Amino acid sequence: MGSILKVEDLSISFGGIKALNQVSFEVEKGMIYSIIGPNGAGKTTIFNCISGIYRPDGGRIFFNGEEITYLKPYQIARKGIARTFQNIELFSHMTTMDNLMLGRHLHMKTGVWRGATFIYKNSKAAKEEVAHRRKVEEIIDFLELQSARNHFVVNLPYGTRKLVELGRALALEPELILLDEPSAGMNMEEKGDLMFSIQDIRDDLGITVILVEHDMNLIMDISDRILALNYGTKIAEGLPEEIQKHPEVLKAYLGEEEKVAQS
Amino acid sequence: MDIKRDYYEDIELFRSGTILVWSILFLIFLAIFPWLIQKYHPLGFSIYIANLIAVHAIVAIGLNILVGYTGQISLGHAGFFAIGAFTTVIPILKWDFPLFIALPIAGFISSIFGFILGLPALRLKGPYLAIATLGFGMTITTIIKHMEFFGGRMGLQAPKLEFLGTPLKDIHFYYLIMAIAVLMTIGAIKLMRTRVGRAFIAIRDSDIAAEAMGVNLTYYKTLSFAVSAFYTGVAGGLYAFILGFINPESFHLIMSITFLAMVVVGGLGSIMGSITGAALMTYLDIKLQAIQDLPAFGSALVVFSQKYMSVSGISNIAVIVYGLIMILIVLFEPLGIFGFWIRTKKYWKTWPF
Repeated sequence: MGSILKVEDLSISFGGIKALNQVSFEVEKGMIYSIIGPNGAGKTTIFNCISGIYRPDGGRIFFNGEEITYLKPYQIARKGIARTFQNIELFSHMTTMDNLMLGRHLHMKTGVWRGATFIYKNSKAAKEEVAHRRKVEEIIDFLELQSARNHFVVNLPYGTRKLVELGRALALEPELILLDEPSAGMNMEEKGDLMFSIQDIRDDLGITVILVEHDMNLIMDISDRILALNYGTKIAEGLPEEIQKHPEVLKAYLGEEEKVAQS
Repeated sequence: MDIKRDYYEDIELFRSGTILVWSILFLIFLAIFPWLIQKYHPLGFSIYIANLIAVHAIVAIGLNILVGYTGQISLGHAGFFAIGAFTTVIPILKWDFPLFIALPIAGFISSIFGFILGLPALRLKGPYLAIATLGFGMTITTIIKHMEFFGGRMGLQAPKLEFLGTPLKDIHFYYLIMAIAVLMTIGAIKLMRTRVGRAFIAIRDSDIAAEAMGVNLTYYKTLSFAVSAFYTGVAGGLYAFILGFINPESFHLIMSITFLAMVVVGGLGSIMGSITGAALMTYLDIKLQAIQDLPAFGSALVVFSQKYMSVSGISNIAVIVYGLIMILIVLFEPLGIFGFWIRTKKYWKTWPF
């Protein structure tokens, strides 16, 4: 198994704050790779750099051996990287169906002329639409979103919206998926389902997953490797068991032991 | 409840039997309208109003694609309207182009300008974009006014239309406009249900997510401007022949704002809303000019306006009423006439609950 994503010395600063400081890591194909860290550690910033929303000040990002550092978001999506957002960025006035269909955007070809003029069921635009609709139905089945299919996303409960966003990313048929706090706002039962979904994404669909999460139980259960950040700096990287005991990680989350003892 | 048996049914033009029946009835109504109306009103003027409504409906649909669906704004659509009008009339006047060639050409020229105007839209949002497009609309009319090629300040006389040597009568022109309007409406409906339309709506709802899903923002934003300008350009070309005379002065800022008002009153993000909005605003605009003929109010309004406004103040009253209606609609139904329709439909569907 080769590496699918390689990040080298990634740095970015906003004003005087170094959001990321020389962060390097490598993700192997077929992994569930998690990024953890306290609030403001730079987890989402890494995602924004990988998916092209931020332009890093320094460092390079390779996807399947190809440099993608300064590509635009849509070009990166075309390479096969899909993502979800921390504060749900769905198309709220579209139905679940249409949201997922938009995920198929890159795989479809219909342009203005064909889209505006198709008449028959057998015309190219209609055929394409139906074929991709079939694909979207598979995703709906996969995430069990049937009941939400024809509802506008604004009217859906938070947990379902998170799933719709995951579905939209899956509709892209990516090789790598970036999930930004997928379990935020979900109850225990939904979290359990989500955990199985993420494992299925990796096992059944063969998609590599990078996860940003705050729920430690979920992370420790499903991650193959974990990267821990604090103040934009990498503090540890390794297997879940190693991270759990790593002194730097404990320090970042719980504070320093001496200080606790003193007070 | 309606049961779907096929994925295709979701993108079909007539999604249910009811819509199909009503659409056919509406088409029949359009076909026999001149015959129906001539018993009660002078035919020429009625057809003029109907034509104007159709042309404004095309503009409103075009503008709605930009404003309602893609979430951009434009206060410069009178500019595209002017471009469409002049680039249709000039080839016909100077080089004897037939209308059915000149009109699409005008549409495409207009959409090229739309593409150019779309470029600043990539960086500008909201009020800033409004100002940029406003500047565009005003610049276009000024340029046209100062070029001898476009007839200058005097404007241009639209030529008499001919079809295979026989001159086109008013009634034929009516059918021509209706056919074009219906085709363009269908085109817009279909476009909004397929890939390109979805990309437009996605940009409106969340441009960051749209881009992360592979939608090329640069391409689709400018495309939206271009499509919108195409619709407006074609409408402008038809408008020239409705008036019979075009003058750069008539494509003013108020026109752009009226177009925007049609879209908002009709309902943002709804094709049917655009049509009803255009129909209502156009009809009101014409009818309110004769507000003093109103049975009971009319004379009172005249007295009021002569007492508190200027002697010829009745036109002020018309504008005030026009504005008042706009405010009331937007106040009570933010989604415009379309929102009202949705509520009525829901009420009937769930009655008596």
